[in-house]
Amino acid sequence: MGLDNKIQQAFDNIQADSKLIESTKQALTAKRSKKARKKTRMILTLACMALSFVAGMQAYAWIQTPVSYVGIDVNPSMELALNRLDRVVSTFSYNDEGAEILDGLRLRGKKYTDAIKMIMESSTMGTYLTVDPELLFTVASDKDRETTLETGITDASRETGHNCHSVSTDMETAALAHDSGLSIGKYNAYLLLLQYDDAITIEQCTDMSISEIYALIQELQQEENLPQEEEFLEEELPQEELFQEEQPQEEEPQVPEENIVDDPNNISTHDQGEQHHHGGHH
Amino acid sequence: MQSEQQVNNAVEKYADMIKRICFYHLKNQADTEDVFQNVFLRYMLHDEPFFDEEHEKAWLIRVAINACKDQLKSFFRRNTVPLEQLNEIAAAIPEDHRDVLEAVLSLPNKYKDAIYLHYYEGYTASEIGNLLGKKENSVYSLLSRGRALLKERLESDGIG
Repeated sequence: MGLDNKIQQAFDNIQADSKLIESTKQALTAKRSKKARKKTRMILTLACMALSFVAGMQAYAWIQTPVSYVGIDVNPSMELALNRLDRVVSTFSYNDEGAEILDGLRLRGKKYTDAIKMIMESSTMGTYLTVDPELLFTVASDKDRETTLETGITDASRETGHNCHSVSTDMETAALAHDSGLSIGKYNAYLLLLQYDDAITIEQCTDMSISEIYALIQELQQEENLPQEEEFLEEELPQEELFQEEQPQEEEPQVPEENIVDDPNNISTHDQGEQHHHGGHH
Repeated sequence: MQSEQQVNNAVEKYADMIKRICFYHLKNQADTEDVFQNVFLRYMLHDEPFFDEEHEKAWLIRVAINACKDQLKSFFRRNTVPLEQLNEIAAAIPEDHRDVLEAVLSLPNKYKDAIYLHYYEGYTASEIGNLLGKKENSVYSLLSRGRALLKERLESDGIG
């Protein structure tokens, strides 16, 4: 018998017994299900992580989305963006003076009233308020928040010993203001000024302080209120409510006039030379 | 991962072959069981498809040989005598077959794979070369030298 056959036959004796085969199969099945369980757990864990990440991002976006803006204008011009919880999410300054004030303060995350107090009490702001005590707050918000915010702002300002004026506008105007590069306070004033002087440009307003703009508005209002010849003889433009002071609106029979139709805010015309003294923005 | 059905089929089909490879490499039953399971675990976890049965078989042979070598390298397995495994299963094996197996086991390790693959599995020298990552000529010399050693040992035992 050749070596080949001998080796063949000898090795034929070596066989895997059924016990070994069965235990191996069982061990493999166990490993497989363990692996599958591991995989399921892994997938679940990853899904949970992804979910909480998305939820976290959503929450972060929710909390970081500005829903209202508070403009503060003296000569320094700045703006606070508030989230749904009325806390400051970001601040902007529209001139160097504003930047100087904001630089020294950490306002992010602060309640808007606290932020305003901090600004008012800062020494830099104090300097400007002594020189130019005109303080204007402009609130851009939805209707539900507007009143609360205005009250909060006025109270906060009073607490620091400063009188202020506040006007409110809507979020669309705020968006337009941001596009134009003006603070919402100035943009509002610009819109007002535009009613009296349609040659005024945003650039001109940028260089003026808020009190200068309002002084100009007042001046133009007075000019227009003076009896004039020709087309202004018959009627006068109404006084625009600058700061929502209470003032009886006297509705007069409207005289159709083509030189006032392009003024959407012109709600009434007075043909009796009647003047409403609103005292500017004091 | 291979399906459960595939794995079970492979275990049934290649159990004896893997057991034999373990047998001539390893020194005891416990190691054999470890390696045996390990080889099929690797098979189960193997992700790429096999082209055909030959490919699958060759893959298993390679994995088994490497697993045995790894097992031998393990520090805790070194101190057992080579023929222990044979003694563990000796009772069922006829005397003359036992002598042949003893002679194969007593060969230096480098000859065993070539001898087994050629004389039992019927692989050619070039196929063995591919399997073991050796040159065909080296396989030829391993085979002829191994065969000579085997003859020598069997003749000295008065068989063959």
